Amino acid sequence: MTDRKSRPSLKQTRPIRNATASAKAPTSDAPLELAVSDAVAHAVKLGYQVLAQNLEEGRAAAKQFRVGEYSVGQVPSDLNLLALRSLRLARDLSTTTFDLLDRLLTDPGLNAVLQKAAAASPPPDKAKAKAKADTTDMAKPAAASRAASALIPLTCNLSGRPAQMKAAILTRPKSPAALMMTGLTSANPADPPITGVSFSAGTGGAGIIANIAVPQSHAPGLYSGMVFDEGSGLPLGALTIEVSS
Amino acid sequence: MTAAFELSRPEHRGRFAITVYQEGWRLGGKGASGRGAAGRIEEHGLHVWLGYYDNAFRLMRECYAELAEGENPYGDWEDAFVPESDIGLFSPGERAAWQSWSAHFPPTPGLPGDPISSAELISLRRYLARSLTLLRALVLDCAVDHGFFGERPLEPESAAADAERLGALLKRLLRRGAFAGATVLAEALAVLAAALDAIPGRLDGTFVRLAETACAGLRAWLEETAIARDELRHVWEVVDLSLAYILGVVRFGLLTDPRGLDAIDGYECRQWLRLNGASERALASPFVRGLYDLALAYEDGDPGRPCLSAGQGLRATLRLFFGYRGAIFWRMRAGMGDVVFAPLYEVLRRRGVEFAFFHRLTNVGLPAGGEILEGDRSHVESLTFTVQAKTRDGRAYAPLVVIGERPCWPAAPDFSQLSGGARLAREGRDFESHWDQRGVGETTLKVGRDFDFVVLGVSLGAVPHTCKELLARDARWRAMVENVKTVATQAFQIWLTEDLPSLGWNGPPYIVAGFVKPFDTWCDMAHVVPEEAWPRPPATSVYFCGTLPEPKFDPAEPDYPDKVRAKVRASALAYLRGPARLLWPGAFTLSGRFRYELLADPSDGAARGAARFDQQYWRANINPSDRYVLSAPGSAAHRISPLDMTYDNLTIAGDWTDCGFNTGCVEAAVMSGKLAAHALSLSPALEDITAYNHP
Repeated sequence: MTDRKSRPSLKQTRPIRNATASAKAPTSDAPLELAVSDAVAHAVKLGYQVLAQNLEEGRAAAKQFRVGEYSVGQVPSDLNLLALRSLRLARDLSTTTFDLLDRLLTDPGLNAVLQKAAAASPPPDKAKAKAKADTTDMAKPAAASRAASALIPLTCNLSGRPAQMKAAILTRPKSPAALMMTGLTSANPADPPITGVSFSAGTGGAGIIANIAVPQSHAPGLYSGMVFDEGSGLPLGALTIEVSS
Repeated sequence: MTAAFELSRPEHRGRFAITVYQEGWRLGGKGASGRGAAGRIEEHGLHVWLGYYDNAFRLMRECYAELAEGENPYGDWEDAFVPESDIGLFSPGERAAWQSWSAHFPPTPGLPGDPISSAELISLRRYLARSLTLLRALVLDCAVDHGFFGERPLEPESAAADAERLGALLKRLLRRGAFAGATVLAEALAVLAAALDAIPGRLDGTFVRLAETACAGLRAWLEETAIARDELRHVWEVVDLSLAYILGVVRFGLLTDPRGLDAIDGYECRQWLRLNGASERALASPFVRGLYDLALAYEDGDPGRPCLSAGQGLRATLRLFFGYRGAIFWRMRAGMGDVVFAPLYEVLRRRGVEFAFFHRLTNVGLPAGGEILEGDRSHVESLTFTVQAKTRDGRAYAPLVVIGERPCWPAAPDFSQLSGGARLAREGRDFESHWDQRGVGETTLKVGRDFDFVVLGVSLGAVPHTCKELLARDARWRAMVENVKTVATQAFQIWLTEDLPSLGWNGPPYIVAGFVKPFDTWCDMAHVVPEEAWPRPPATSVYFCGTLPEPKFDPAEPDYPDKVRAKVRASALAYLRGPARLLWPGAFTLSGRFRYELLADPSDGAARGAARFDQQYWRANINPSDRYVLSAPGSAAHRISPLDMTYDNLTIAGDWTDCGFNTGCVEAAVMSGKLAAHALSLSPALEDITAYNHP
């Protein structure tokens, strides 16, 4: 009989398909909070940038259309409809976005992480100094404490025609007095915007209140607008209200 | 070749004495190429290396580095592989017969084959986040060529003076605004994906609900406005597919399933995407058709029978889009034989590996016994070969020829080196044809006397002809052969005296997929012409390939190959006379006749008309070992791994094995070869085989 060689025994004979998933499981000393807060901050920033661009383009297009450098009869008949649809889409998607972010940020799992991170955050004076240093570059990795406090509650004090707040999100500004809003715009470019929005601090400093007087003449529907930092001009958030019919 | 490369590494200190037995005169199997008349490159088909082929690139980089230590006619690996970032896809247009769509994939840091840690390999969770990033990139960066077959592109400056055009410009502006809104949504989903990545298992339900809501809104709008516009349609088709993928990954629990994407291997890829909400329009999009075309994923070559498992289809797609480094595509400077297998042959020879050409395996012998059940142990007792030819005086066959100072594989054997070579040539011996079983003798190797271990590297199609005993006694092998399907392919190459832009082509410079069948994928290969040896070089060469519907002829007939080859010739000619007009209008006369005089003739003969095509190159890949291995739904479970221990002195290698990336490509073949080496030597370590443990 031949003295035959045989293969060595093997520890693994199949791919471990969830190896990377296992490797990603958070550990007690993993910088989990950093990843979450950075992702939120980055996405919020990008979302606002794109939303601002979206609204700006929509307004510019609507303005160009209204100015009428050409006869309406010379353009395709569906242009009006298209403009309305596009603006409506922007509004709907923006609202959806804030709903999504709201759902995300109120998720118990994420909140637990954020609270844990907040507990480990530096004293307020140091956190404030760090926040100041970070304001010029939102894309930089942010501390979890910053993410936990980056978004503050925004509520509405509505007067005039009946209306209700539909969605709002606001990143923390330097001070309430620095907020400004150019107006809440309807999907229908023919409707005038709701202007004169002012901001004040909530009771006991909890959150921000947007004071909005809705003129009786305004048509029912959804009105959306951006909230800016008056000093820097950077978008800080957005607000959508629905004027009742 | 990979297994030989690994087992002959100096680190093994000569532990393995390796002999490669090869039928015919050249290495490479389906990847083999040869130099024909005028030194022109003749391939089995169109080979594209993808930017995520880390194992294959690492092998070649190591090979080229080792060659550089001595006399090196091959140059650097970066001279051999050239990055390419664009692909062209075709689809039936709304108003024109066909519309071209160019996609640009920006370069990414690093190079394929660079060291990569397992921590850098992305998980399905990260894929979700990166999918959404891709959505942003596609929405913002996608360009559609309107000017190719239909309307002219809009020029903003001229539009200002034209009310109608101004209206069109305004429409486009509004649509861009809408896209920006969609991007906000994408960013929001990216946040969810990032949260999923950070908090495993906690947000799945929330994510599904939110993603479903978002997808429904997007799709409603898509159906209402975007898809009616060609310039938006393809972007949203990709968005639609990506959303279906995202939903499916979460719905099917793939984020935590220990089987990874194998959990959905039983689904056909389009079926699975459909289950998760992809629209019929998106499933018929050029993006999907291009992927299927590039993967030759049609059962029996029938375009009506797409055949791609959801698990492997998604794995390959994710690797393609998110795993590439440097460029998404890499083209070879010359033939695959010249760029890959000649350098490998040279390195292996330097290391002392021996090659026995003209040996066709006919049987893998087992010890006497009955059925071999799962868990049983057996071994290979003998290997029997038909000796197709012997060399004069028993000297080693020298397989390479030098063209342009580089060693290359010839398209035909050098009969002058063979004993009785003149007679063999006169008899028309075809050493690579399954239908030519003639030989000059037979030899049988015995375990313990002639070999210790076997790496079976024949392709799957050849297993029934080489492993009859295995199939007769091992149900797992029978199931593998039955379920892991293969498909015949066809290819042709033409050399043109005018370049494609001068013939009217203004598409991307490299690979194009999704076009008219049967040759749905083609590529301008002008860059290889300087490597050839034409007295008067043509301006370009163009390679076409596609699946070959199973011929109706009887394979038992001896003239079967000739009949099929004639069929491919007829198809190629019909293609040039018909669909080629859409690509290269300048290749046709005013009366609509293809200008055959454009075809370069290496013999500078006097052939006229369609007869000039006979000087071009075409082939039917019908030999069992040439058939392309499919990733059929449900087939992954039937593949056998090189690590399988049933036969304790046998391992297997090839893209047909269960190698972690179960699809027909050079990356899978290399991974399999590395696994085979691991099975024999425990080296390389499995964690060093990139993406073996990919979900």
